[in-house]
Amino acid sequence: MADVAPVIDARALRFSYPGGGFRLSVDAFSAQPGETVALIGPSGCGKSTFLNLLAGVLRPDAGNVTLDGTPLSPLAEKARRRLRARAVGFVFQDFGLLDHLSARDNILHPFRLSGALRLTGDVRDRLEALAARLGIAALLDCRPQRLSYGERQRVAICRALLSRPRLVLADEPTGALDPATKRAIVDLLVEAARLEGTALVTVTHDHALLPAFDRVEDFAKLAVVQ
Amino acid sequence: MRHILAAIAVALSPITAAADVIYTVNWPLFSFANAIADGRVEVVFPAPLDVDPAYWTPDADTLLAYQRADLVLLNGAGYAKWVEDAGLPRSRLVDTTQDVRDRLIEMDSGPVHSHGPDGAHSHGGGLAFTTWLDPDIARAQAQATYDAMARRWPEHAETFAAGHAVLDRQLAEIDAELHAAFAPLRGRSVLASHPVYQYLGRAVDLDLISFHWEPDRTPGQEEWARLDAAVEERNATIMLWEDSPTPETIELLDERNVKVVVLPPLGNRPTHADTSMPDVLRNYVDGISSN
Amino acid sequence: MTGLVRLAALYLWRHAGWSALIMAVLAVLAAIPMVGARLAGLATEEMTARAATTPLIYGPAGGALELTLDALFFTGAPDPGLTMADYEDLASQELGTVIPVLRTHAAHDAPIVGVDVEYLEMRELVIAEGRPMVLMGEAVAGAAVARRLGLTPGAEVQSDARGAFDIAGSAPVRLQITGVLAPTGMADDEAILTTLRSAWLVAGLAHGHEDLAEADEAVVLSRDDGVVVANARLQEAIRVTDVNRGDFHFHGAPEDRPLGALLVFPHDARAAALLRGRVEDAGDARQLIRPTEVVRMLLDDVFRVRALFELATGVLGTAGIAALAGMVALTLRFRRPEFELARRIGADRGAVVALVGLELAILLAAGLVLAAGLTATVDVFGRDLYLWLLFGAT
Repeated sequence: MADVAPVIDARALRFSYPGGGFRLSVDAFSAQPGETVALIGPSGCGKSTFLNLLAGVLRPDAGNVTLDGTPLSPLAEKARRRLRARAVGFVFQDFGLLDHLSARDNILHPFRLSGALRLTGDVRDRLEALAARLGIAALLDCRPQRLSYGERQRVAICRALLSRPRLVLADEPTGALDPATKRAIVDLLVEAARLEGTALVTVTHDHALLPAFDRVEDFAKLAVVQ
Repeated sequence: MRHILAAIAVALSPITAAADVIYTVNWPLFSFANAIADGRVEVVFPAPLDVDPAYWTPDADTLLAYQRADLVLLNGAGYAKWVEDAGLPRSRLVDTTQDVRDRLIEMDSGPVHSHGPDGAHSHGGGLAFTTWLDPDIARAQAQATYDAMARRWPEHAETFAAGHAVLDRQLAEIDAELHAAFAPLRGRSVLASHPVYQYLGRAVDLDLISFHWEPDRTPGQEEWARLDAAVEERNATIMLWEDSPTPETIELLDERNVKVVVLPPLGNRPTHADTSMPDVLRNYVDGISSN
Repeated sequence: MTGLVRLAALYLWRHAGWSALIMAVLAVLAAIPMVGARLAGLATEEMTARAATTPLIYGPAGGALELTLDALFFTGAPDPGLTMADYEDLASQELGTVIPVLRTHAAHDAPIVGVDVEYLEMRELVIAEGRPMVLMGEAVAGAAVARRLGLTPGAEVQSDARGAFDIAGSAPVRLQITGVLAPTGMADDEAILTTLRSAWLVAGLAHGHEDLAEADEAVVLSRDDGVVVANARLQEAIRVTDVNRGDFHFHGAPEDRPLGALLVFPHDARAAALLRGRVEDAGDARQLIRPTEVVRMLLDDVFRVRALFELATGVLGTAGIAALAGMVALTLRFRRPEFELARRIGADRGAVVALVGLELAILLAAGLVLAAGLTATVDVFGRDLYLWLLFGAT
């Protein structure tokens, strides 16, 4: 990779939930623009917690996370949320779609809830283009209940990418899908990341998907969990 | 919405009707009111010509007209029984003999009977009601009429006062003339075809013997026998009639030296429409004087 | 903001059942005090307006409220404690218009009220169909009772058997309806107005019978020197017709015939003062009351009751709101994944709060609109309701 500042850079992270019982330590982690990283490890080993630390959803007890060149620790909650809304896209295992909204409204959801994002005509045009690229253009007026799991995840991916984030965090994005669809979804994510210059950090425990990524990190080696 | 309906209904059927109208129950009161009103208010006496107003019952439409009138002049003394039964606004009824109640004449009663809780009573009897035949009571009725009209239409009080003054003077003159005309008969017995001359009789001091003889029917033997007894006992030589009796009756009376004098009681309007009450009473004077 | 409004509306639309339930509960909680206030307002308006139409009421000594309710609202137990002598006495003073009123019976729960026909003019009652009553046996029906009993001109209505006098054996009377009044929004709508003479007939104070001089021997007990005694089989007429009208007669002196109240419309303030003074001087057997004062005192009592009602409503409302808050809190708990999602995707905290706030605001607004609609129906049905609540009228 060329000598470019990483999109995400975590140093000497220490985190534990209140009440103790879980401690996470990560010395160093980073991802470059357009780089696709797979984080592999068994369930319950702290991968999701790590993703939340990278996104600024959780505050580390010690250490620092720099997102798109901005250290997260000094930021107040509101600033962190706005940075997250602008710079991070999320894809969840359970899709994270709201049943009472259509696919279109689900995709636009962040634009309606965050002051960091403005819903303009350009955004709507980009939505149509992204949806076409993801093969869901005809499904935009459907509600999630009427979509297959694969279609739902495509909608979620479209939501994650619409704001042109610097970083996409995908937590087990294929967990609920059948094998054929898993591959398709991962390919979509990877292709979109590369095209948009977005860093992609994907948590998965499915080894069959690993060849699609630029880098694979074994979370057990990356982090110390107690 | 209900107010709109009410407004429409007002246009269709108001309870209060045309203003400034007096209704009367007999012709004498009509005559008095007319004389007093001098055209300022309308006076109506709606009974048909061929009925005795004392026993006439108006139809519903006529009753409604009475109900809507500004004043209804009543004769009092039980005249026109229909008045008791009719729904007329009491505040607009004027009993023209109210102030002379102590001078009203009781008549003989009808059959006494009893049923229900109240014991014996009679539906006959009551008061004689041809009060206007006593000019003095007629003046009282005219006064009551004027008082009511002046109260109701104070804006015309002056006109009414003038009309009443003329009427009162005429009635006073007739009173004197009647007394003079009947003077030769004072204290004497006079026969009457019906008991309708009580007030006249009292006014001019006649001993009236009344029958129930109809002008259009010649009486039977029993009735003649009764008359003969009265003629003999009381030396009556004159019989007052409401209308001309049959020629046979006249002849039979003539045989008994009883003269027929026709004095219509005047409950209904006389034949000549423009005749006034004083004029008609003057006919009484002429009628008696000529006999 | 429009985005949040859209999100709020979509949420409520997609959860229509829950939304409708919350809205309905809000509507009821809001409507109870609003309806209560409106009913109280209706009662105040109508009772005050009705009282204002009648400057004074003359009646037997006793409860002023009972006299007012009887004379103006035709409710309560009838108490004919006056006579025509009272009327003649008061009318003869010529200090105002005096309208006699008598209520002793009802017909299918509608009060039969005997009045001088001038009552119709003083109350500015308009005949919408037919004509006023003019003869004994005739009556006009108020708009509401005509509608309820299907009365039109030409119809008949029969008085109920029992009334104020409870005269054993007094027969019901069939009154002929000659007219139907236009609606007034007042107690006259619920009444059957007839002449005083008809009211006395209904009260059993008159008899109609055959001409006793020619009576069937079957009903005659004895004839002796012009005195005829008949037995109870002598038929009492219950329907007045043109044929038998003349046969009716009233026993007792006219001045002793009963009345319930006299509505007095003095010519002016001086006349009113003179009347009051004379009534006071006459002693304790009679009273002359101002209905506006009586109604004001009654409404003061109503307002005291209303304060209790408002207190109860407040307690109920608080409990209702607490229950509603609990429901909403439970719902928000179920929506935690949605709020967690919002947090993760970087939603402003204020935006989420605003979203929930908007949803509740929409429900509240809809609930208030519904409550306002419910309250508006009080204007249509409320008068019947408050009459029923206050007077038991149907």
